[in-house]
Amino acid sequence: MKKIILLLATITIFVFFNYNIYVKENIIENGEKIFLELRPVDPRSFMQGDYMALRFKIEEDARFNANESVPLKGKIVVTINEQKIGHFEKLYIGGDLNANQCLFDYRLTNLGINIMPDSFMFQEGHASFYEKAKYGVFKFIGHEYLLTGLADEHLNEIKPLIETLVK
Amino acid sequence: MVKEKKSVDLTKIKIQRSLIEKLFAQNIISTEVRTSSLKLIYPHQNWGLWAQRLFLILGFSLILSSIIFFFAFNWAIIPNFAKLGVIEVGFFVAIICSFCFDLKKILGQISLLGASVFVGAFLAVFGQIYQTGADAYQLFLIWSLLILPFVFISTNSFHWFLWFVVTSLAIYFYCNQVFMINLIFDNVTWVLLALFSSALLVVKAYYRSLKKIWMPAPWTTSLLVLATLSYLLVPSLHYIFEIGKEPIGFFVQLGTGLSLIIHAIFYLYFRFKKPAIVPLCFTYLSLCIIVEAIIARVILWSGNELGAIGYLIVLIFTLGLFSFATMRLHHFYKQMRIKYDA
Repeated sequence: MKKIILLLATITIFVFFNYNIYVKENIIENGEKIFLELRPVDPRSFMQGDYMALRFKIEEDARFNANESVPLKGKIVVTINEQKIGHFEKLYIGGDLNANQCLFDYRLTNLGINIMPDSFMFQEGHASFYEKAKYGVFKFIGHEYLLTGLADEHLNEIKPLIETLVK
Repeated sequence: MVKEKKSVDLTKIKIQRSLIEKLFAQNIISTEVRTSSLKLIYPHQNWGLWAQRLFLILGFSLILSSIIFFFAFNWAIIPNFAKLGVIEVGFFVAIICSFCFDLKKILGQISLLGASVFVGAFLAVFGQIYQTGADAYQLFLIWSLLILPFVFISTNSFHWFLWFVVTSLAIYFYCNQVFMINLIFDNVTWVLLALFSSALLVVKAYYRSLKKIWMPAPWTTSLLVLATLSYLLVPSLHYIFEIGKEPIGFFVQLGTGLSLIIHAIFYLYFRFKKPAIVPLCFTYLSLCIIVEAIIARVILWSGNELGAIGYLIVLIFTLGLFSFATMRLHHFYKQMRIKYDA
């Protein structure tokens, strides 16, 4: 009996692991790239060890445009321009989207409206590479999206130079 | 008057060092019998077994931590599939080991425990690679649910302990991130955590009544008692220090009521039903802190300007309270030993 439970649990975990890898890899491979402008925050709290706390400009725009009764969780409609940069449109209240629009999840926290994910993780010691970050890079398929990296002011994705670190 | 001799069933006498020493001190057994008896109940190879287990656990912990450090320092240059693949391979090796070695043996149990740790490592690395931004509670909740079958079939107490910590963290972060509860002033979290740990105590007692083994080590009971009482101290102290000042929240009242009931249950259960000194010590300690808080509130913070005399009264009361508790516990311990020796 114990071995049957062990086997079933192992199969469940194996399927769970690999299905989730497939979903995320599919978004990275085939997703549409979108840039979201980062909002400057206090440099003293910008870098925190091996992750960067992210604040997006559309969060600020959403806060100014939203009325007081913002739900704790919800979605923001973002319109994408020719450069693939996203701009705040409105809080999502249902209905169809235009072809150049997509949805971002948000959560209301003590800091206001927060786009999820609100942090970007990287290897310890790589903080200096990401200091010039001006945009968050997302990939979209349908309503599923992933934060895949950070980009500089010219929309070039930042890649840590390993050789620099080795020297 | 002739004292009536009480018959004792020899098979029910537990042989241990103290008993042999007592017999030797009373000249009932000789030096040779004492030495050979001690050799019999404490074989000299025992230290080897102890060392073997220690090195096994130590070795396993070092392998796991080396994997974590290897990933941390080579994060950017390792491909995503390699990162996740290594963990999946580790998981499967651990599962195969637990299949091959019997789960009743320590090697099988440690392997299964390792598989559970690999599940957590996979979820953490997955979140890191794909920047999912998932709440911490989701990681701990999924981890807790995925390893639950392993914990259910394992007889290892450390495996259970891992699950207990992971599930408690899931509850803690759920309250923090989803309810956005201020953890110091709102008591929902502490009440939920106390209900969780006390529910596990009930399950353990139920399993024990069925003569089944789950969480076999005695320290698991002590740990659950300590956790339950510690969680409930927060609403109790909140109630004591805030009553009369501001409206008391529902969960503070609930936590305080629960605290009183659980103290009474623990006292009765561990004093009379299943005597155990360590859980009883925790119950007394928690009660002493509550009584101490009431006295401090009444004497020092009730508006009476007693000044230094107030502190002196509290000090004397503290000494008296803790001395009384220690004496009572010492008395119970002696009673438990007499009952045990008989």
